[in-house]
Amino acid sequence: MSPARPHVAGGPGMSPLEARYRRLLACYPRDHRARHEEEMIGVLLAGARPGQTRPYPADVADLLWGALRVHARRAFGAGSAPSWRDGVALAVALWPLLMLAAALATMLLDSARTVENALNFGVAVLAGPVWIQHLAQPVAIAALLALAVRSGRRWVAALGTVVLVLGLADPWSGVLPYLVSPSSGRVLLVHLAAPNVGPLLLAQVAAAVIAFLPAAHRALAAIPRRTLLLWAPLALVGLTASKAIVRWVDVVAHQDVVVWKPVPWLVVVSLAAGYACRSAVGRRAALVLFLPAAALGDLGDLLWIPTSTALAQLGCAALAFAAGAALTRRRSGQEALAT
Amino acid sequence: MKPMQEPTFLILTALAAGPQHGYGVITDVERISDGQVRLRAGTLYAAFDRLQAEGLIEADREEIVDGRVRRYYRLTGDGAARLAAEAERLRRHARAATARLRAAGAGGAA
Repeated sequence: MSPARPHVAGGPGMSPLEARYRRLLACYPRDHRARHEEEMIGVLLAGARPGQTRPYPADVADLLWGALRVHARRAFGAGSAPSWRDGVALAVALWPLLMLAAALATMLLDSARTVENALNFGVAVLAGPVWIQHLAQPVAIAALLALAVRSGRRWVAALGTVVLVLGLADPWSGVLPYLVSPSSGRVLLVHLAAPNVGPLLLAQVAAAVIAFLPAAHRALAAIPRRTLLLWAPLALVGLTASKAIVRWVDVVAHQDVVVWKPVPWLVVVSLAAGYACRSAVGRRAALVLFLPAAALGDLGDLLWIPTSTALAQLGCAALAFAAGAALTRRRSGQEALAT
Repeated sequence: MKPMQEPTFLILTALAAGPQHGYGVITDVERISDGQVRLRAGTLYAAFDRLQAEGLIEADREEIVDGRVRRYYRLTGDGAARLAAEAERLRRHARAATARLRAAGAGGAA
């Protein structure tokens, strides 16, 4: 009997058959591999014929099918219920923030246009410093919302909602002049239906709901502040860029540029989804939120543009997702080394 | 309770004799089934993963053979109860099938 030699995973003494088995086992979840990889290699090699260098197709199929079953059990099995609950709570909590970012992006573009007009036609033609209102308003609304959600203070959320509804309902209150029109109450209905205002109101109402929903507030509080500070501006930039393409590019003359309008936002959403994949809760939140979030930007006409362009755009999203996931993996690897 | 799938039943039956490692379970299952069921590693470890999560089996001990970990698994109390219930269910069905076939055979022969 040969003396026991410590086995080094993937070491130089590894046979081609073992190397191939290890590549197949890479399809299994990380924790499963950490626990069972050496055992499985042992079982597979014990069942191999002398001189065999490649796995039999039946073994390959069985290993891949097994990997799929283990992944599926992790994702949807009885033990995954808490992760799903937290993931859905996180998605519910993030959704109004995303809607707010979309509304802010629209307002930013409106403000830019107003300032542009003011510069072109002279500030005097505008009643009062309109541009200050335009810039201060989204900031004020965002601050109230962020404060309400971050601190979980119900009264702040309720106050924010009341202020917004009053501003919408009373055209003369002047609280939110940009959102109202100095005419009849009917305008309110027009505003509520208008895309620039509807999401904002919904976001404000949803902020109140979050402040009153402990699960959603807890889920959001679990996200590190640094992460929120990184992704909030990125979301705003991505949404603004996607919306700006349609506004500032001549749609008729530059159709080739306009078809790329979904890409900036799609890249940000995919990057964030990849980044979220490091945790079980994040993966589930990303799964629930990906499509609605992507739809917040201008998704474009994926069905009507040339197939090659559509594939290229989806490829950009896939690349961004992979980059986000790789970034996360490297980070968690570094953290593991540090601890 | 959901009927048990055949590989699961055979894995639990193999472990009912005492703790065994993965390759031991494969050869034992082959023996129990008269060579009709040959489990492969993917199926076996997907089943181990599920059965451990359900508390029907648990890790027993580990040994190092040729520098590689060999882990033994054993049936838990819940696992033994579940296997007994399944065996009883199969026995009932087999008894019913045998009785009816015998009755039909007797009627046909007359």
